[in-house]
Amino acid sequence: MPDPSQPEGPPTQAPTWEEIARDHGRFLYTVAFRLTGNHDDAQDLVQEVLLRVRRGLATYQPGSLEGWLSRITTNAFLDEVRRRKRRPLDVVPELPERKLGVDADPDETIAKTRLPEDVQAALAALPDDFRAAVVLCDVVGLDYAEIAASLAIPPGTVRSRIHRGRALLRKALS
Amino acid sequence: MTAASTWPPPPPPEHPEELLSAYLDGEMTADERAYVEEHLTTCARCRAELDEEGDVRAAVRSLPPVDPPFGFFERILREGPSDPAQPKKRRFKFGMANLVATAAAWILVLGVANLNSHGGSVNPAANDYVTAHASVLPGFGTASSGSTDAARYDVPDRLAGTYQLVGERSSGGYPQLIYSDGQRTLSVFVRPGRLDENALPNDAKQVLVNGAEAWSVPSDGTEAIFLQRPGVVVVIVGASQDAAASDMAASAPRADGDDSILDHLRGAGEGLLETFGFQG
Repeated sequence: MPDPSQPEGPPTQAPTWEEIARDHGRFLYTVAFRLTGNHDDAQDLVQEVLLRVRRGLATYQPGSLEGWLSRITTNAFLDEVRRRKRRPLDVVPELPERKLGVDADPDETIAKTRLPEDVQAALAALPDDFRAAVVLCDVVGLDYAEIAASLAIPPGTVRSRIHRGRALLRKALS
Repeated sequence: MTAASTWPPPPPPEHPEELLSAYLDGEMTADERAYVEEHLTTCARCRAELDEEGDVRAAVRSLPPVDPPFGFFERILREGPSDPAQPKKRRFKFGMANLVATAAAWILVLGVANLNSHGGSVNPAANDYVTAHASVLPGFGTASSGSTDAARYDVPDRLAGTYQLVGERSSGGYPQLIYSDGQRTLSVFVRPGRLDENALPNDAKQVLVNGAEAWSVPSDGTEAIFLQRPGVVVVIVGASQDAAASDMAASAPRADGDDSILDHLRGAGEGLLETFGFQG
């Protein structure tokens, strides 16, 4: 949690949607893209988040602006997922054309370097709830308590979703 | 560490798999941490798992930021965020695609002139447009004032066959295109949003422009035509009471003088509809 006494504290007033679009657009878009897995849905999600901010639907609590924005984004994402009733999301990961393992040194392939496209594809393949927890933890950098508050789930559930999400990622990337 | 000294040996400790993520993230109590650390000293399998989980965690954490498509936020700032749940949006998107497809991104380009970011309702206050139109009449040949330059935009340089684009300016933050046939002058305004039909004056009459519904509003010797197209309102204003127009009146009298302005505006509207695929 941010120290309220720090000199450059977080804003105490909710930023306007214009400020978010102008100053935090890239962050917002990144979170939206990691959650949705494709640009079309990411754009819709960003618009939905900005609309929620514009309509004052998202109560602002002075604190981490990015945490606040991530919470709105994740909730909007999960709302949309529920609205679609598990209709398969368009999670066709946008994989750039890539020649797999061309001249790959077998020793090197075990190396820990993983292509972002592969990681993104594995992330996109996670169940939505797990992905939301992993994105909030590892893309946004929230702690478990913040994730629990964002997703309105108990801390124990955060723990297991992150663990199971990472386990699935491991499997997908192995 | 001394537990093995008893017989029978205790059951093997459970692998604390569920705790490994929390351990990596430093999200556990001191007791839990002590338990995990003790287990790790004796369990190669959990150590390997911890390593792998650490790799995956690092891989996700090192994903780069993602840039939106070019102009995405600029467009939102200009037009306001649109509601993805509204089917309207698809229409609007299609309309925009249409515009671009017809090489007529001019509304987007013109929109840079600080269009109403909410894209809300457009009040059909004809007088405002008429005033903006009249203000260019005395010297419209030099009316392309301000920082913008019509030549930069991909706007039609000719409307209704005879009207030549002679200027462009920003009118109250909105683009105003000025056309002249040498005698008469038309102004074309473009605003995002929907026409507030409830606010139309009583003497507004519905007209058809190339088969599309439009409203004609008379105002002090001028006509303003309001065309609602997907996402935008196009307003075309023509005045008869400028010096050039009175010359024209002498040289080219019309059988139905009352409709002459309207006819010209319709012609201009039809030109716009055709040029930009604005048809409903």
